[in-house]
Amino acid sequence: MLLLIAQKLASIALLLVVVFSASFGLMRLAPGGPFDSERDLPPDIRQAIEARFELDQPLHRQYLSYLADVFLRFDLRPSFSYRDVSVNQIIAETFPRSAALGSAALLVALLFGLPAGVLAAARKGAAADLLLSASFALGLAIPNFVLATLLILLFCFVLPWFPVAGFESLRHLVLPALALGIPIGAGLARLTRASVLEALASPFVRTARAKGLAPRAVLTRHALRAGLVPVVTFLGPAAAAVLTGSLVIEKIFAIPGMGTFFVSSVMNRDYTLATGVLLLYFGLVAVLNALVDICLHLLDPRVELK
Amino acid sequence: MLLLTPICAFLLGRPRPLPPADLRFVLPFENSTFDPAKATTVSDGWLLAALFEGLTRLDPISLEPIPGVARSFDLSEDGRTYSFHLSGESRWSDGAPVTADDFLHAWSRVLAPETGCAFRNLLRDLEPNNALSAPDPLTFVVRLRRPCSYFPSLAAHFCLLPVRRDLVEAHRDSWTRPDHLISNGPYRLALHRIRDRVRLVRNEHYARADQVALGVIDALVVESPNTALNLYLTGAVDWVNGAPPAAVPELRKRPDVRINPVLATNFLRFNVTRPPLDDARVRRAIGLALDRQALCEYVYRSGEVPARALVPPSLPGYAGPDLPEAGPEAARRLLAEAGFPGGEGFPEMELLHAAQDSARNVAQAIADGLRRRLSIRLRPVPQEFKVYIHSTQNLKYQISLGMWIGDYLDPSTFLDLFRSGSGGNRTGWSHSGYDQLLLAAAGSLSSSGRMALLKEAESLLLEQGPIAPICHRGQVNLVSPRVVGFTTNLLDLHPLDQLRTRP
Repeated sequence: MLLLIAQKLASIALLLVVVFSASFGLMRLAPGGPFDSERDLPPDIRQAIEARFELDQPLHRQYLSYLADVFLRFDLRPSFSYRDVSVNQIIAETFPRSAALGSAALLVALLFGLPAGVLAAARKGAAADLLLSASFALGLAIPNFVLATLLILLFCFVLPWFPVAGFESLRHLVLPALALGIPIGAGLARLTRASVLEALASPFVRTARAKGLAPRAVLTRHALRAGLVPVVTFLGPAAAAVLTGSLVIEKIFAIPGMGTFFVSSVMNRDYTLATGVLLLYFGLVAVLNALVDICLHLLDPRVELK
Repeated sequence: MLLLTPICAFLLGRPRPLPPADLRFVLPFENSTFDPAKATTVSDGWLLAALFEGLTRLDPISLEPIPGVARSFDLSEDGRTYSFHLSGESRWSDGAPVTADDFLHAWSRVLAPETGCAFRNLLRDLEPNNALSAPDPLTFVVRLRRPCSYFPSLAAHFCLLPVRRDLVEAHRDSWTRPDHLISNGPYRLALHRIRDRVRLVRNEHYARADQVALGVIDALVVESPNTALNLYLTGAVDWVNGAPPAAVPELRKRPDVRINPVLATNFLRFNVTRPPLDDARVRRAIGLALDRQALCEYVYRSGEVPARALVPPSLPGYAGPDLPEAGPEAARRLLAEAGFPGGEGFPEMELLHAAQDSARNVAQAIADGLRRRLSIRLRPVPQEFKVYIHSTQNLKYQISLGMWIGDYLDPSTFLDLFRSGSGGNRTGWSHSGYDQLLLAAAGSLSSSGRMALLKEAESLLLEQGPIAPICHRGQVNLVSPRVVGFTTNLLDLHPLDQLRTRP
């Protein structure tokens, strides 16, 4: 097992170097730089700033120096657009908030989605199943920002129960978590229903039934374990996406998270911040996928650990 | 086990409530820096004006310069040397007195290329050598190349705020962190949560601390104008600068909504190196054919007024060129004169703009209006902001939407843009007569003579038409009735120490 973990870590490191290199190349290809704006910079100032940020060096030297800083010293360097802070600081402050929102959303998704999916599978074909399946489809179809707007209208203006935006207390997290979590929960529910149904139809479940096991026991002790396999696979990347912050939800609810940087850092040509958030995102996806692999093996021994 | 990750994440990042503030307002973006020499936006300027105090301040209603750290100044006979006399009562938040060296250090940083100050041109009139000196701790001397009647106003700009030399030497780039920053203004920096808020707390060492009413002020970062509006409507914030244009027609009916002109103009830029835009008649024809009233009322909708000149008429002390009334008929005649009667033979041109919704609508409306009035075809081309800047800088466009916000109360802040070779020109237009008029105005000793020369220069600019002014901007401010002392002005300055709240 330890060898496996070491192997996984090495492949994650390799992935990150590839991501780093690709983002470096792509960002430099885009026209326009971090210091271009409506207000013109005189040539001597431009030269001085570029020297400060090493932008006047030949590309390969910039690449190697930046590579060394990131991977040997874990220093993501100062941000180009936020001049007082380093990218490490920005991520250290904003990522946990996105993660908190994302976790709350995942919790919502799991609490609503899993039981609903299992219930729908257990009552397949009945009215409950039809109603639930319809609601899953609806939850998937509505974009999260439309849901957000509806929630704000309903629970901030019509019924003034929740604050409209901000990140000041747990109450502030309720609506954003619902807006982010319900569509994911709907997807999770549908997936759960399908895979539990498939598990219920499999040979080992038939054996359990034949042996006289009660339906509920069949469900919980045998079908669920197998049925949850695809769900766990789904959760890995879903968790990564949600933990790094839904850009739109954070904007609508003024959540001070990391999500906005994915787009804004590129738009501002903030090379270091863009690279930093990308590395974090890919790193998180890779780590969570590795965790998922291990989980799966524990859930279903038929799955081989690669 | 999978659940463990989210749970840990939640505990680490959960919201941490703060004690309430006396006033809350919205910052449209995360502030870029607390370093006066590196800041660029208007909202950065509000925070800096709360943290620091410069030689002079601008009165929030009249925008006239009033004493700041300097209680008076002497001007030499030839109008070129300013000696600012600092009041001995001004203190930094660690108790140290504010001295002339703090200004010497700050202004030298602005001049140094390595600092990268975007507003260095404000000091362009300084003597090339030995312009700044601090003969004693309470006297700061500035020597100019030529007289500049609005220099005391310039001295109030946020890039010229004082900076402690020992702070920068000790902490280098991190001197602006909340635990290091020392300020001499009405407030000090208590807290900075990235992308969340900036908390300002009254600076008890400030010379006029007894006149500062609000003890704690929170500036909340809210990037979406719609969310900011929601926060205002639910009473969660007390002041929002700006509002979504779609909501303005409804909002302006409310008494708590203020709309005032600001020193900014939107215009079309023409790349005069691309025929047929090299013909001034074509450019003027397009300018005359714009339906500015309709654009302001139905497209911009935030208090803009139609513009026929570059410099907003609200600028005090300047009477701009008298422009003849003219409309689509005159435009059509000009276009025919230029060889395109009824728009025949006129090539389809691209109208470049930044890819934001507001700009998109304006471009569409302009293209539509020109098709109807001049029978010429313009194709709106959106580009991502940095690419759009890059294109205009390198003259890779035909016609583009542009704008300029004035930095100080003088026509030169607009007119200097179009000097030959100016980085802000971006049209390829160059006219020695215009350059000479500007030079003569800069060297003029008489204030009225200077204004006359600038008026002549602007007339020339409008006649030659490398740009076609569209409208002068308005600014919307949503101000809660519990806030007292809020004023509006051309530069959109809102000193926080002047505000009080009703219980």
